[in-house]
Amino acid sequence: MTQHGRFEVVGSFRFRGHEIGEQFEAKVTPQIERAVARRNIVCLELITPRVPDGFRLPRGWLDE
Amino acid sequence: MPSLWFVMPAYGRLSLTAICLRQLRRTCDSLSENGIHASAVVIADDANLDVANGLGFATVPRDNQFLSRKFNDGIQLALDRTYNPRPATHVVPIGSDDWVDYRLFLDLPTDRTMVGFQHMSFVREDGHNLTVHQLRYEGGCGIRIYPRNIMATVGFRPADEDRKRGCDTSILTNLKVAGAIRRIEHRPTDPLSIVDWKSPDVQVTTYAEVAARHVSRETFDPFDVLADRFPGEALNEMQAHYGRVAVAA
Repeated sequence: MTQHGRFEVVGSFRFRGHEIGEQFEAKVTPQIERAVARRNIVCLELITPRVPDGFRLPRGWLDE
Repeated sequence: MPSLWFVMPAYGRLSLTAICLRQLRRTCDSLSENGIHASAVVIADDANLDVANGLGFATVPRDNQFLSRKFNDGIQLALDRTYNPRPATHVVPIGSDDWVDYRLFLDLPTDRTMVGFQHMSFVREDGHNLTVHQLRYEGGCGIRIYPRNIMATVGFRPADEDRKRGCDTSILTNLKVAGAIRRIEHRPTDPLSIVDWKSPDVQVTTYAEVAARHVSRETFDPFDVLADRFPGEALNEMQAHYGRVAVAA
């Protein structure tokens, strides 16, 4: 699985449609790495995107 | 037995979404009666989850910050054994304002073939006009049939995690980059088999934007032309939703 991170837009410019101060999750790509290097965004943490807790399977799905 | 989950992110538009969810329940039941065990997963953070639970569908609680992340959540829940001990064999992304004819999904693709549809209908925001369009790009509309093995290549999360629109393209692009798709099959279909009910509420693409982008043919009254294709109770509900008086047959 390709590494992902949680990032925040800092500095003076929006990034890829994200406003300054907005946090987002994204794959760590060369574009992302360059944006981190020029301080357009900061990496808050490395993550593995996943289904959030609290999900439910369809009623009776495991009974079949 | 083959199985299929529709993956439906939802946000607001409670009345319209509830009508579409009830119709999706009928679609799933028809598929099950024809040998394909079908269900759906709704990804939302509002009362749409309650409607989905009441209809027996799967649910994932997720905010609406990024639409693509919601698609990824639904696809992963459908297909990843980490979350689902009985993963589906196929997934179909679908909008919360879409109706689909169950017969489109009776012939499920195998191997690494993705099935797309390039003809569909759109109903104008006032409910008075239905226009048939041809979507002349690879993959057609976002309602596509993906076998599980295609999605497995990308860890069951095919879209970029941070997109607010363009999710269909993100999914297809990432799958192609990963070498997950061997073949894209565009199936010729009656465009009335897929209906997108536009509404005055906030939506990703308006009726006017669709008309500007795609080739269109003819316009019809939706409740006349769909009468032989979808259940009367669903059409009556939708007609009431648009504030149109139902005309007795």
